[in-house]
Amino acid sequence: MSGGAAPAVVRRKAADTSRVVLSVKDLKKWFPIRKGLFSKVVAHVKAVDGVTFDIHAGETLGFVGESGCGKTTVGRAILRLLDPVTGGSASFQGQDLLAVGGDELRQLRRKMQIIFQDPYSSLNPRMTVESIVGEALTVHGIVRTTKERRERVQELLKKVGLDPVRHIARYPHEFSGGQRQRIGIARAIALEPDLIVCDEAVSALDVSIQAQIINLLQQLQEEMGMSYLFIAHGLNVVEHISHRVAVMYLGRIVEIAPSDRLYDHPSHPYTQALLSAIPETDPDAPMNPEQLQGEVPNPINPPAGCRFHPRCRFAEARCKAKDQPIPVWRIAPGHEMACILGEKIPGAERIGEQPGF
Amino acid sequence: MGRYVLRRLLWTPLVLLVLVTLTFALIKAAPGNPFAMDRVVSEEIRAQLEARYGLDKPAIVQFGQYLGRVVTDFDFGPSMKFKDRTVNDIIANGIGPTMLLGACAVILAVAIGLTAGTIGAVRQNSVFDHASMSAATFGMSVPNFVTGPVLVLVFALSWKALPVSGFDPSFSLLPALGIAALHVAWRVTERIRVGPAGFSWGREFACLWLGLLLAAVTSVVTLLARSPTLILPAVTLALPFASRIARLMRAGMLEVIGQDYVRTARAKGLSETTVVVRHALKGGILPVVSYLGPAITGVLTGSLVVEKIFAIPGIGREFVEAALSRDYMLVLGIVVLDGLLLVLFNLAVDVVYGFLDPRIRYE
Amino acid sequence: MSADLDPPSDGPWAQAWKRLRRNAMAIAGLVVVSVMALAATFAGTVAPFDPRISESWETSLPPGARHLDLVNEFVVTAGQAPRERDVPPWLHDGLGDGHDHACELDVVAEEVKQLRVTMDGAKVTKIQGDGARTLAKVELGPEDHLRVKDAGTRIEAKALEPGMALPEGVPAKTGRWVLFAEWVRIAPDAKRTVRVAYGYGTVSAVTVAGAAHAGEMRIRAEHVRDLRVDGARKEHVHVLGTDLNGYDVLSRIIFGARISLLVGLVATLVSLSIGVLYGAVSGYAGGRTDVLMMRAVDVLYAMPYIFLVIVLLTVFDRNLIVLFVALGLVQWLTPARVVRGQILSIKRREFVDAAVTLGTTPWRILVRHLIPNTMGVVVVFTTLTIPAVILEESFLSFIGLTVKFGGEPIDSWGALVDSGRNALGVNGERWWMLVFPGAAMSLTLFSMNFLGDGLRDALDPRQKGRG
Repeated sequence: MSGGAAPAVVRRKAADTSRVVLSVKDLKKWFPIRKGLFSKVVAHVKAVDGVTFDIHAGETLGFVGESGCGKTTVGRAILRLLDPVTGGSASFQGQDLLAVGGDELRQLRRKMQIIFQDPYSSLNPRMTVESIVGEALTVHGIVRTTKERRERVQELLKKVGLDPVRHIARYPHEFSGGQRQRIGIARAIALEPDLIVCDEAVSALDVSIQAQIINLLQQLQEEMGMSYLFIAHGLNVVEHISHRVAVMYLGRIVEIAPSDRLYDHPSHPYTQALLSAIPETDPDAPMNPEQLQGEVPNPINPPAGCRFHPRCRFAEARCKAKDQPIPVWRIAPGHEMACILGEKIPGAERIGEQPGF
Repeated sequence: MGRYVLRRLLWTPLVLLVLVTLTFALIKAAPGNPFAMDRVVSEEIRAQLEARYGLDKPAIVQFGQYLGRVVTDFDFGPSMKFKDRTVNDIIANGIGPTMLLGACAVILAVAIGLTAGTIGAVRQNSVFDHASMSAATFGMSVPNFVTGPVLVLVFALSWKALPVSGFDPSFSLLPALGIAALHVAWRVTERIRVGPAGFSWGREFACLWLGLLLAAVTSVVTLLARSPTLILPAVTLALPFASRIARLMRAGMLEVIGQDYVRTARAKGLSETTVVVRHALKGGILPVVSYLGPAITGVLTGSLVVEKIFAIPGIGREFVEAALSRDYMLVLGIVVLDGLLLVLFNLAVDVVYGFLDPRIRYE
Repeated sequence: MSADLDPPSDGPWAQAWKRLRRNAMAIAGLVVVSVMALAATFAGTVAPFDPRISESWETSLPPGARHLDLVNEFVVTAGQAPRERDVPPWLHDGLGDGHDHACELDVVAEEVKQLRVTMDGAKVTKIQGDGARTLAKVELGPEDHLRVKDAGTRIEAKALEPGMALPEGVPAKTGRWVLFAEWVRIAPDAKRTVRVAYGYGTVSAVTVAGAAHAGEMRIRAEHVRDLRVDGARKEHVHVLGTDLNGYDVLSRIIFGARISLLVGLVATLVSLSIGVLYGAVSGYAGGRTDVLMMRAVDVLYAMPYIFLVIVLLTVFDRNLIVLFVALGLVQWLTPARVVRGQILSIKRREFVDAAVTLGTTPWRILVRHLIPNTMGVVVVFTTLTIPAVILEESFLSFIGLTVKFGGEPIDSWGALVDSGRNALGVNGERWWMLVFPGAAMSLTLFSMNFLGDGLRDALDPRQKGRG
């Protein structure tokens, strides 16, 4: 945490890289734009346009990008909240995630949960903490009696640092933002999932509360061993919690690397720009020259060639050429990035390509 | 705009078809035979009767035939209670009084409501404002089948100022023609005074609306002044709508008056009247226009009550009597006719609304 | 961790209630509606008379008229207020002696020495006693010259014999009778009885005063408007008069409130349930289902629905169920639309996604997560739909489509207004039969509308001042 008031940072536990929990290949989610009398589809917003990544058991994969880059869409597509996806595949513990339905899907849902950004709209204002946290237990028949449910909910509240007696019968509006987020976490871990998508889970909170929540999440990961897909819009937030970080720009991953490596050797210009956007706590550090310029392009009509070229400080004429595949480079073990100018990076090895525009 | 009207026009037959089907199905679902209800008739006569009304055929055939007759000839068939009268006869006799009364009520309601609402908005929190709004709130809550008899009690029975019931209309076109003449004179003098340069169709159109409204109100006043039997029914029918329109008008105008462009108009030094008429009135009238659709539905419903109270020979009374005596053909005919009227009136109101409010894009 | 718990603020309902409390008109409405609802619920206790029992000779009494009961029997215990008991008509036997009398007043008393019975407007035909010294005095009004002649006449009767006729010299004329009986010599446990026979239906008031009676006194009087016993006044008043058939108007209004409110409440609940469910399903399903379901609503919206309701009531037996269906058919459309709109926005909120991720079934999401969050709208609609339904039902009753309830037609307010309208008379002299039911109905609708508007403002302050 940059400048965080984090008390006693919990060290990341190494992930079990031998076991892949979630494997996503070439995932696409396009939203149609309709117009006219008969709602004809006139264009698409390509929110996610070919995203590939794996998450290992006990691992935290950070997902970073500006708003509108598609990171949230990735999270929701994996959780099957955006059916149907446009293309690609995803398997969860060997099961085809995008194909299952009905009861199978309901069983699968027990293993994947989500924590939302907005602690206000993510809790049903008409339900007590007990029914919010305990709903999953009831739905999946894990508890039979209300007494059993109350006990389980109290355990969960204790786990996330809420008062199991005083808080259990209250309604969401009686809590502060951080406490609400704890309720959301309790709800997510109630089913003891293997993967939790943290969708900007701390972005709406005060910095000091952010640290507390991130610590809580790390603590829970150590205890329960689940993986996180940790979505955030700034690199600073994911630094401490992530084992690996993926950077997204306009529907694609432009760089993915182990956390330490990414922060020390960012190779994609966009990553570099994002890193420089982190407010520096050291007053003696040199000013960052790589400030990101311009706005995120209109996703309905993205720029041709490399999508980042209008904002890229290294951009050359060839970056603008239409319909050229974007090469993907391996810079170090586990460190990959996609850039037309990638060959300039020493040690870069071309391992594939993304389709062009 | 044109496409919107077209779509609404295509929509109309569908609504009517559903209405006819629903009503027909309801009637067919009636337990028992319509002729078995109150008269003991022999099998023979009943068979004859059924043949006469086509009841011996399967329901779907009856429906088809009925629909065919209505669509091609606008023929609603024979009445079941009155042997020598067709539904068309009865409707033809009744539609006049009903429409006359309905038109009277709507014009009266609009005139009273607009005036009271406008004054209330311009003189906000004045004695008039409070009094008229209290009266309007009350007027909206008192049902017309209470208002009507109470008015009869006060004005006809106790005071003897007006007749208790009856229908005896008498009309003169002269005052309305006078208004028309004044209107023409006004427009012509303005042309002469200002010259052809200031001419605009928009302004002529707006003035024409004003003239029409005045002429309509004058006609209604003439009609009521000459035919005292119509006063109480028209007032009874108009009261709840006048109340609602007054409230809508006041609220709508207050909203517009508070907006920047009206304040700007005032700041420009335009007179209060100009501000009210040119700007506020135009914005304030929109909610009233959109309420006219429901109001017309209400007037048609209200005619059932008012025609009963004041013994007016309109289709409302015919409908109630047909319903009570189970004259299904007549009931069906009037339901279809009223449905048609409603759909057409609502369409007209929506089109007018579209003209008045340029913000509406009918997409 | 609990240290940073915000002070528990009020929930949305508590806040709404706070806002509502500031709205004086809405609270007034709430009070009126509550009173009406209570009166309707306990109609049997609250109503002074049974609206199904007519007193056929008491027709068209103006408001405030005194009650003429069929038979009153009072049991008065010393020191206690009189208690009324109805005596069935077949119990009064008459004197059976062929005289010209129809009614009688019996006073049976214990442990009393003197008894004074004053009868106003009676045409006394016969007096009977059980051996007391009886003084019968006739006081006559000044307007009757026959009586004036006899004014001040004091007839001292002999000891009364059973079956004894009217004392001589007393004309069988209408007037004020004072019957004074004094028992001189009787056994302590004997009962004293006095019986007066009088002309049918002419007694307006009877006062019975037993001088310091110690035991029980039973008084049975027929067709007496006002009965006073020992100063303890027992009277019935037709506060709002009676109607053409001798029914008490106030009682009919109270019982009418019962049917009107019941119909309003049940039909509203039925139609709102349908509307909420329909709108919720439509909004939650979205896509083609939503479009189709909303188009159907549009078509039904364009119908002249009140005519369809009339057709429905014409075609089928007019019972409560058909009425509920008919009224429910109309009222579900608007809530369906509004709830759909609400659901459309609620279903985008993240707690719904959370529920999906938990594996919650769509139905459960609908019932547990979506619909409860529309409750504010539903409450407002309930309070605004009830008066609309009451109005419609009364409208139907008014035009003659009265609903039968267990075979007998129940008079809702609409029917009362209609019968009041027919009863007015050529000069409107019987105005109360129309005005009071009409006023009750208007007041209720008025109050409900105010309450509904107030609730809307309280639950959704952004909507304030619309319409």
